[in-house]
Amino acid sequence: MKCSIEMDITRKIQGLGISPGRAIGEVWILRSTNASDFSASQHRVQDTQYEVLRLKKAVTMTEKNLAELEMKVRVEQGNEVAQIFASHRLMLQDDAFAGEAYRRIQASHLSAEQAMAQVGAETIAVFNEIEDEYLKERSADIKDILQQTLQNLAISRGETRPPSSFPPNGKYIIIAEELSPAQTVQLPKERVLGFILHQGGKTSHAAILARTYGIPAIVANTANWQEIENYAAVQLDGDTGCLESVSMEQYSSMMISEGDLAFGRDHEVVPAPDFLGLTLAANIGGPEDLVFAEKFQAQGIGLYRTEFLFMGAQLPTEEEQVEAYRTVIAACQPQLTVIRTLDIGGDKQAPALNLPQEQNPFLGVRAIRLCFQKPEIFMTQLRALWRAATAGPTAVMFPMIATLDELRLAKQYLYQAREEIIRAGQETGILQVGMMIEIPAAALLAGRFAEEVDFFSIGTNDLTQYTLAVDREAAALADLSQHCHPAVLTLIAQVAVAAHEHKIWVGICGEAGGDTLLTPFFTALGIDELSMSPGQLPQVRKKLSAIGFQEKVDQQLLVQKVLGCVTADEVKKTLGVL
Amino acid sequence: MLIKEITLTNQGGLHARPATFFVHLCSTFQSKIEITLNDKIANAKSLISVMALGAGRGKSIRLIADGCDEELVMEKVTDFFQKLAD
Repeated sequence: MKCSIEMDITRKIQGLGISPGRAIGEVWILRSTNASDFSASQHRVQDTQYEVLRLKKAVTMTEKNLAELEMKVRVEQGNEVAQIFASHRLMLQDDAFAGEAYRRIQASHLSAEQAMAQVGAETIAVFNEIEDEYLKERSADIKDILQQTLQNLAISRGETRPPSSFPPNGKYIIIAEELSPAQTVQLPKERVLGFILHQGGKTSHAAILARTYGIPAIVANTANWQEIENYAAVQLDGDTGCLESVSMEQYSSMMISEGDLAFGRDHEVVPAPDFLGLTLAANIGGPEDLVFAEKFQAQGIGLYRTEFLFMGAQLPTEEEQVEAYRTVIAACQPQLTVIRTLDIGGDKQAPALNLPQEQNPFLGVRAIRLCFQKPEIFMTQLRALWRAATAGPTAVMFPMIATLDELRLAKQYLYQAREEIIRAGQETGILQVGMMIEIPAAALLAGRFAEEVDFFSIGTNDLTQYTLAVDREAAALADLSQHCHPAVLTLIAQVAVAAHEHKIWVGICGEAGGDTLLTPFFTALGIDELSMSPGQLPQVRKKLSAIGFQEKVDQQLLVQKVLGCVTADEVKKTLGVL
Repeated sequence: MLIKEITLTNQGGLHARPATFFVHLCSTFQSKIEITLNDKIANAKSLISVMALGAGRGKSIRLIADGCDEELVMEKVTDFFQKLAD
């Protein structure tokens, strides 16, 4: 930690409180790309086509980024706030904005940066002349999209992100000239203690977002305040607008008395509102399902089926995969996204893979088995997962694991992928590593597997099919294929016990997860997560609150009773009364 | 060509959110649509242009539509501002 001696003098500024609450902590100053750096330069470029192309690329990147933000914010805060980003996209696409910049590149031989900065500055000037106060503040929107586009242009020139990005560890009070909605949303909010803005008002987007997130914020100009540099300690009051510097001694003693209130623990887990300690998550097939997960208030994604990405005419590239996974992870954070590696084969075919027909596809080269035979496809996916995991809490799980050798081999590939990423100088996130339990062999040896993974996810559809030896697609055998058969439930119970003995978490992600008949049984087993189609969430939630109101059902007894049944019908009768 | 005077009675006038919806709506028509405030003219299919007009609360704007579906434009846009005021 860096500290300056001048900090001993306590100083105060009276500013304007824009989001209530008090914060004490070290500051971090965010600087942004400055448009005026470009508009002044009048260098003529020769290859205008190339400049147009660069700008188009940067605009597309900005658009994509805005679309992601819109989705993320929609999940976190609803449509009202997300609308900001929809507006930004519309402005960006506006012929008077990017379109005008393209024309200027051609007409005046400007560089992409110069043209964009000029058009941006002129548009901002027009907005500044508006009399209406509210509309005047919207010039911040233009500045925001302008800045993002300039930043993307900088990236296209091969420059890395500006040094203003957030430090990797700890919690900070952010100081910024002004904060754009995009900047605000992209900050790791759980690590932001407060905001000090030089400009803005109560109706600025940053203020609205700060209030939405419950982060204290004030508007106060610290520009002439020399001691304010990164890691200096301050105290701010979002109710009164007061900002005070804090000496290092004061700060240390405050930290001792307030414990970890302000000092961030790394990777702090934000607890989700829960029923009986149970997480209710959603199963999705891709980013397009996120709207449903949000609508039905899923607490994260318990199963992201990646195979849909692979069902097109061509296999997805690493970049395309990173993009898709990251979109979901970013939308769900701080909650967990569990991503299942490719599960092709059985009933799911991928034309691009051109796989041979098998006699018994469900018992054949399926899922992880296929991945082992096509390591290049597997490795591409694993690399994409490591890279995408930088966007938030992520878990990976391997499907169709039958033996420990398979699990170990899969993990070996996983860590090899990580090394490749690191060697390539790219950033990797953190992954929880788990496996599906859907083959009886794995369920029976769950205790052994539990020593080598972070979690289990029980796929009840396949577990039922493989336990009862009944093709889940065979309509004529539908009566046989019941996930509430005592044999299946006995395996589930064993897996749950083994998991908890080894202190790992266990979820259910098959159809059974959304079956309210089994909900009391699962809670009695202490299952940690039920993941289901988003539309099933309300019924399970309802069932859970009903259980919650009943005088404590003896859970041990319930488990014993269910496992004492010998037929699926008996199980239904036993649980049906609850 | 059809012309109509509209007074903005909603809170905040034609600011970011309503302006976004307004531009989206206007973009669905074939007609050329413009709105004017005092001596300023805005292309109703451009968000920046509309916002730069600075049409705050209580302002009177003039809506001008010219094209094959101009009657529909008048009807839908009037409807839009009516709903905005409610």
